[in-house]
Amino acid sequence: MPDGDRHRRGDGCAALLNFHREVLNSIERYGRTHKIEIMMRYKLRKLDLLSDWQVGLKMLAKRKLDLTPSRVERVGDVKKLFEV
Amino acid sequence: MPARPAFAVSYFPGCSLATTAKENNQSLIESCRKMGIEMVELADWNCCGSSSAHSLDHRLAFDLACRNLSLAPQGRPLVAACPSCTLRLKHAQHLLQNDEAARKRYAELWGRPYDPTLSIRHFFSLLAEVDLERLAVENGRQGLELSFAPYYGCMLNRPPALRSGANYYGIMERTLGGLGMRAITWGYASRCCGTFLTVARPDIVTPKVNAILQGAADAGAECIVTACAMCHMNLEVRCTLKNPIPIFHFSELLSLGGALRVLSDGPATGRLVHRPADVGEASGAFGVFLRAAAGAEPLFGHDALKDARAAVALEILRDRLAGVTETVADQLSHG
Repeated sequence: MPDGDRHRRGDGCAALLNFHREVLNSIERYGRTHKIEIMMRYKLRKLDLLSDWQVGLKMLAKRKLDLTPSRVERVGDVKKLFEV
Repeated sequence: MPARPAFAVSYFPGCSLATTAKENNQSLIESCRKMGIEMVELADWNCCGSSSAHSLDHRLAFDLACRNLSLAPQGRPLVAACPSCTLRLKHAQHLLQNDEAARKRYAELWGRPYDPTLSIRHFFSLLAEVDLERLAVENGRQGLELSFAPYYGCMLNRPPALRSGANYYGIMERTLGGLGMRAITWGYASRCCGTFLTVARPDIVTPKVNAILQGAADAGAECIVTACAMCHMNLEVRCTLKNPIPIFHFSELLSLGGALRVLSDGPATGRLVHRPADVGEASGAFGVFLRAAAGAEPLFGHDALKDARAAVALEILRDRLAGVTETVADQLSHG
């Protein structure tokens, strides 16, 4: 199978979609992306909590991940954009 | 204190600079302040939608970008330093300029008409208005004889709709070159780093990142200088090379090279994910900065891990946990 096809099929594609959904969920919730929560929710959905734990720990220790989200004050402005 | 009258711009940091790349944000704001540019953060800004909104829902991507445009005060340019955010904001502006329906939606959502005079600029375009060489001399320029690989990534490329916009390639070479640093010529300056695939498909990203870092080292660069915080993070966390060369944000070297401020404290301290092998050998201001960015001890470096026996490994683990605990305590006390 050509490489292009391999990347379009199977779990990889579903995983990407799930990742994008978690990013949008975070924007809907806070108005901004909360990276650590996106990662945790993405991994919970995938039932894969162990991969990347070292990277996560390292980034946390180097203050590259915020534990609490940065929020938009008027988050209602952003939430209404998600209403179909 | 700025040496010349400041001009103010509205600054859109975006999620990456506000969190994973604080050192980028800090050095950028500090450099601009020294250059007489006051970066006034856009009040209550929201995420630009990033690749996720752009990939799944074009209308949402447009709306998210437009809220930010609607918050921008009149009479000041809106400046972003993240290439991806700049692209999203400019693309929304392009739609507003060319589509009546888009203007109508904007006015309905945000209760005011779109401001056609709003200028959206990437941080790079501000550099054209500053005499950096003179500033560096005024600030007591420090010798920075180092060679760097300028890495732009692909987000500064323009999509077809924005093809008549400015081209920023060459700005890092010209700017840092004017401050005494030497840009190397290499083949990876605008290669994609793998961008958002880093979470779901690290198997795709790691070979790309390794090729970029190895390419820079093979071409004789002492460090890579990045234009994009997202690329920067991918290069740092997805690299599996044994001794990669260090990676710096452009704003960090700008700040350092102009002798504007040596970032030996704050977010820059100990922030390098990989500790370079020759950290002790670099001289001058760059050496000072490199060692500060690498941290005092090689806790996270590949050298330390390679030589680790059980006791050393335990010590590393203890230090990592201490770092995490400190971060948690710090953030809870401010949260």
